[in-house]
Amino acid sequence: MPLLAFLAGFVLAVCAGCTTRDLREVPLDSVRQHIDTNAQILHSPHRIDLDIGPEGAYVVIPVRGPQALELSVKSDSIFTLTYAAIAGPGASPFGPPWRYRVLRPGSAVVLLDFLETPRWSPASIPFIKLDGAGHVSIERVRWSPPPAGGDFAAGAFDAAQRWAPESIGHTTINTLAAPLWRASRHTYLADVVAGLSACAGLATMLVTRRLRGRFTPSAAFAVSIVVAAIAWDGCFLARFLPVARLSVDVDVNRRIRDNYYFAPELGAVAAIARKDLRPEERVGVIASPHDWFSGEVMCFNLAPRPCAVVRHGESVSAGISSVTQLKSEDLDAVVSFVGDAALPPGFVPFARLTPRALIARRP
Amino acid sequence: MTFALTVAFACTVGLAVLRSLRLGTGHLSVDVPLAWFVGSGWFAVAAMLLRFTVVPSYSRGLIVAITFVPILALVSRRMTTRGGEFGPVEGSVHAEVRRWVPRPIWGFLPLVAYVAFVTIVICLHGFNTPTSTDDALRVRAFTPMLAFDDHWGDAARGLLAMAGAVPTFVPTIAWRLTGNLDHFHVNYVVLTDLVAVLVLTVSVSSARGAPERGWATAFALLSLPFFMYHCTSTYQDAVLAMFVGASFVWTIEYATTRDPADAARGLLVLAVATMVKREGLVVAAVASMPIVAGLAWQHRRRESVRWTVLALCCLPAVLHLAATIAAAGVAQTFPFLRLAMTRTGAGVPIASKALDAPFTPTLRVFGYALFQSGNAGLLYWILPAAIVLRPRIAARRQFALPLAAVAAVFSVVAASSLWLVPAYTLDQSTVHRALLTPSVLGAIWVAAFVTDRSARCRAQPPDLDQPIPNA
Repeated sequence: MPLLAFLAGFVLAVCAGCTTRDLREVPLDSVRQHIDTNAQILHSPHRIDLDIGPEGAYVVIPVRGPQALELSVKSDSIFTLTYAAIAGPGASPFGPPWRYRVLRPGSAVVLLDFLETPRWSPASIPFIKLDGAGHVSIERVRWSPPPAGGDFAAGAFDAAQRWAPESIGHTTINTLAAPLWRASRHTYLADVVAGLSACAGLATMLVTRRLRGRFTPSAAFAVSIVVAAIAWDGCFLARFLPVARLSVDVDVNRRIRDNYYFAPELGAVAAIARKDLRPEERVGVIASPHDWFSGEVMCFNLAPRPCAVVRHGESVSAGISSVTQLKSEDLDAVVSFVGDAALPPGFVPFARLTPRALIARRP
Repeated sequence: MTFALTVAFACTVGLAVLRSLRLGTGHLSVDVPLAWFVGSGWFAVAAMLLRFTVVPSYSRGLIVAITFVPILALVSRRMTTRGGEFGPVEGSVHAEVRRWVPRPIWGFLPLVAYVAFVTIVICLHGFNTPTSTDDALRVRAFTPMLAFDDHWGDAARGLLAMAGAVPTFVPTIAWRLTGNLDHFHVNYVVLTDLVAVLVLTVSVSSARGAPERGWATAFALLSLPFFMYHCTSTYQDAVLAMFVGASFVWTIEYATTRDPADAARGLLVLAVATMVKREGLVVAAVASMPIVAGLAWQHRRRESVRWTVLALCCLPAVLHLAATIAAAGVAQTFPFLRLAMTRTGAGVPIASKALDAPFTPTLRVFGYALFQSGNAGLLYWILPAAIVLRPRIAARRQFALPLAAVAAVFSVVAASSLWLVPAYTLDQSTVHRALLTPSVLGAIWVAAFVTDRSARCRAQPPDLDQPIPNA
């Protein structure tokens, strides 16, 4: 019985997590009037055009506590779109768990589930960070308002958090996100499943005592393990399968291009550089001072080419773990993630993926 | 797929080493995955030792030479000796009751399906995921490229000492043979380790008449979420756990059969585990203690123990230490000693304050890592429950000896997390990864323990008062 009750609870919880949300239109004029962004807004009657520089931009849509936000957008470049519900100052939008989507050139309808972000509340505001450079046009905004009543809001938040997919990024190293049964009360799934397994075991013990006239801890233990395994592994698969990359492509360059899914621009440039740069060329990588990731990933993927991360004002650049040292004048090619402006003198771009991501050589 | 060359070379070398030491089981399904682990170790230690002591470069010829030495040793051994297998022979306790289908089949079908499905998912995800995490970019997946490049400055040698010989040299086999560097070979090596350890658990148990235990073990391993995740990253914590886990399969066998050949197989894989990360040396040394204690006890009871073969099995660990010292110096080889001296006040207190943290919050985080984080699934709820509910069975030698290994490895991790580097526990930067190895051992132990009932239905248990034939 406890097992059946538990499974029924799981099914109900799944259903709660799968309910379709009532999306309502947000008038574009209202968005235009109250939008908060550091991107330049270009005037256009039927959409909101954002001109985004190499450092990226943030956007706050003027609604409060959305369960979900659906954006119809058109972009001319590659962007990583990070979204988070922000309840107060100083909170990081990058989690954990980090929630993101990828925008590629062209039109797209993006559904952002803010209930899956860790700091959602009915009073939170939807914060969006666009990492990339180029133009993004917001053509339509729809939103799902927060559930009326504190209990309903907490219930919706708990269900969404319980079944939210695992969020994998370049900082997913030391731990996975702890599965929560009730995020609003910070109740861990492990505690709940362990308790229910113990109940199932205890019930088995009592039933076998009644049927056979003696306690059988082995049977109780076996039932507990079955309950724990079904619940835990089921939950794990529900969280991990949506983010698993299950395609089969033997081409290494295509796998690099397509599977840096939280840094799609980087993967795409790496694939081009690997194809276009000769094995003996010495490569420098220029990235934003706060961005350690692009430089190291690029050098890693360009191996065995000598490669170093070029920093402003340094005449000798160091590669990964300072193993490679290259002088500026010895560089044959440069991969830049900050546009043309940072290129060393004498380098001319020969391949450009986005306004900020390009590859240059000496002529 | 040039990676097939790596698998072929490592497995061939491994099989030759196993046969030379007379540690083959006679079952290819057991020997091939075991040979992958052993061959990886042989290749890695030989390449590193020769490169830093004898030859000036890491060349294609060196790889071929390393491959042929154990093969020649095997051939010469075959020519000079006959019979006298160290491993199982007719009439020994585990050569007789091969059984591949678990019973009841309806009960195990979902479990087998889960294992197959999750293994495929992990393999595909790992196959597709390029290296993207910091420590992998800077050390673990980077050192093979340094080996391929073969220019060893001070910084590169320091990284080599951190990564160990196995993660550094095994992915380079096909690169060096073909001249092409394919970054994904680092991923493939990790995935091959995973498949090898899963096949080993199932095949060893099946070959000895207890497929239930094998499938339950595979299932238990694939119920550890963080372990599964790191099988798809190119970090080496999961790799270390897999090597120690592969050895632990033999520890459980040894505890059941008391066959010194099983102990030797376990020690041989543990010796290879010392070549994975610097932590490998400490973990493997601790995990080997119950095996060594068991062998000493057998020796005391005047049972036949072939110490020479056992010493040969441990030799790779010594050679790896020598190679690391030759490559990077003593200080880089034994950083833990320096750290421990710092913490006890015996050494210069360098950066000691940075490692400090208040005990109670650290303990709370450690408890969270065990019970609530979910990184080890529900293992740390189930393991103590198993011991409490079935204490008599847990105290039997067949379970007590492996449990001692689990406890020993767990104690080292606990001491490291709570005393040596508590700051890294408090900020959760290392504690979950450090727990991967004891978690894998714990999962294997729980699986063996839970399926004990079916194990008793298989072959006749050995008479523990009689020495094993030919042992």
